[in-house]
Amino acid sequence: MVTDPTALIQAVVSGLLEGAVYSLIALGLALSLAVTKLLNFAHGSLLMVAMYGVFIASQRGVPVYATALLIIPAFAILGWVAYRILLRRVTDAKFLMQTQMTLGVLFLLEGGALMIAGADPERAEGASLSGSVLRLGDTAVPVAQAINAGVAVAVATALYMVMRYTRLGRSLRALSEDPFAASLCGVNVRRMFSLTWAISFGLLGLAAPLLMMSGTVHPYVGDQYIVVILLAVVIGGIGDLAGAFVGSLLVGLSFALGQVILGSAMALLPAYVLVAMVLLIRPKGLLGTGGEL
Amino acid sequence: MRQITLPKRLSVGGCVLAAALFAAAFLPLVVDAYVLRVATVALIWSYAASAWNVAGGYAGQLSLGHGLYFGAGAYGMGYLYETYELSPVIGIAVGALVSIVIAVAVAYISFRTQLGHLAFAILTLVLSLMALRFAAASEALGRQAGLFMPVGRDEPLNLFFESQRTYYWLALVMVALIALYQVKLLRSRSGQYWVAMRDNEAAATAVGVNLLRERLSSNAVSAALTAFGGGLYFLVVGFIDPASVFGIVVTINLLLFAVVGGLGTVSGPIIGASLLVVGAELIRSRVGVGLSGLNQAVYGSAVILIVLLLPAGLVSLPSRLSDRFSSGVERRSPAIRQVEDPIQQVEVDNA
Repeated sequence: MVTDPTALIQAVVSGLLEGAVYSLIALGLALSLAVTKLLNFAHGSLLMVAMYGVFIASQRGVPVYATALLIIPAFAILGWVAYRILLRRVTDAKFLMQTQMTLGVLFLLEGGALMIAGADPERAEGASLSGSVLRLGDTAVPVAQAINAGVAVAVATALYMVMRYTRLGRSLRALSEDPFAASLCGVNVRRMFSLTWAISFGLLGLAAPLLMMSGTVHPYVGDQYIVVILLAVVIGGIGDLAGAFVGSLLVGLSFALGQVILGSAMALLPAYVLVAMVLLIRPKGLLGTGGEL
Repeated sequence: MRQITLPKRLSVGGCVLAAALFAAAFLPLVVDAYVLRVATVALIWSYAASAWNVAGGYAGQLSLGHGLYFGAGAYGMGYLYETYELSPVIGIAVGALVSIVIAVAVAYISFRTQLGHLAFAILTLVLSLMALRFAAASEALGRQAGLFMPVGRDEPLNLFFESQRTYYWLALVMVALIALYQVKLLRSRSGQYWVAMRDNEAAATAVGVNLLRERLSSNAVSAALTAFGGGLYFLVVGFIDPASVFGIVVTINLLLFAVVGGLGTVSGPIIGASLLVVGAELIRSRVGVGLSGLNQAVYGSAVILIVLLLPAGLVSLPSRLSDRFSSGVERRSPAIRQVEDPIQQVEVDNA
């Protein structure tokens, strides 16, 4: 049990940065959940596929950050198509059917990745930032993580602006509250849903190069993320993007503090406890606008 | 709305299941040890998936944390035997008791806070993950390395059997018993209450169903039954570690076996588990290490196909086929649609 102040400050800083990175992934899930009411368990595995995309592109000579220009549109289209072909069939279905579908996709993606790419972790070519660390006093800040956190904050802000001030955002918010009423007001439900999934997948295309700059990819990398972002979305409240952002920060923070205080085996425990408490005391989440939980 | 029909004394499906179980009793006499082992494991998962189905399929209590109960049975048995030399029978009973307590607590709290399905599912998921962490960190429970059961001993009172065949028959008996239980359940008042609660809580309350009691009882029964499955698993496999019994994979498997086979049916979980476990093993043994991941990919594809083509599960295959070939006057509504709010059923499509 370490409680020396330097370690704690380091944990807080790392935790917040890590949390910001989680939010990049969590926001996509939160968006698709809020608007289409479908909890995509395969979100983490899709991130894994995007990361492999970055890896492959980097091997062909594309600079890691530049792969975003390829992967984001590719994944946006994938998201649109995935809705039209597959997800549309379970959008109105019972929770168990949706879960079954997305879990099936998860297994398919992981099995496929294992078959095609093998189990070894792969690093992107030109992932030059893996070791770089910035020193601010006694605190070490990995450069890649700082950049990612910055991008995450920018993306979150941009999403917030879109949701609040644009017509698209208004339509999406209307859909998240009442799809039928929204359609009566002239919202093209099908198109908006397709767009939502396109954005959700596209955000993964943005996150992947950022993560690959300093990390590795293997078929099961998605599993660690899906649990974490699920916790983040629940803490923040379903139907609330700002909540997902805050939730991600809280999860990152509690994970980092958990590692310092409880050791790495029990590191996620505080996050679990937090989720349980939120579910029991404020099921709508800390900032939730009341999606149907 | 799914109709609550009282099953006839002897339905076709019931006869088929009974015959299949009876025939299965002769399996050990004609197959080798490897096949027997796969069959035993398939039976254990059939049993555990049925246990999940009792709460999830009949009572609508969608738990994503049944790994917690499975592990409680397994670890309870292992820990008490290793540390206190208590018979596994007692160990499993203790594991079941702990599971009941947790299940009742969770059900009670979520009733009081009026948690919806998704929240309840995530709460149970989080609890099972917590259990995993505790087990992984606990010295007494063997940490990451897990616990071992002595094999090859012959102490019937301690449920140690030298012959694999005995374990197979034990698993078969458990599957038969839980199938019988579900049949009786469907006809009993409790069972009808649970189904009513699943289909429409408001209507059920209006008819006089005590939601709290039925929620507590369905979760408790399911938890205890699952714990027994965990104990049996440990006895047969001989080894457990936190991930293999508490992990998310366990819960997901229980859920998928039940749903793929047929949610809320007696033979569904059995069919689902048997087919998927045996299928996975077949792929793994034929394809080997060369294409590892194939069985997972096939598993995932199968699950997706079932959702799209047979949403009511594999058990509905005969009736769907007969529907296709019938004159089409009476087309069953797909089980996939949620019929709670008539307005929401209108397909909003203005592309």
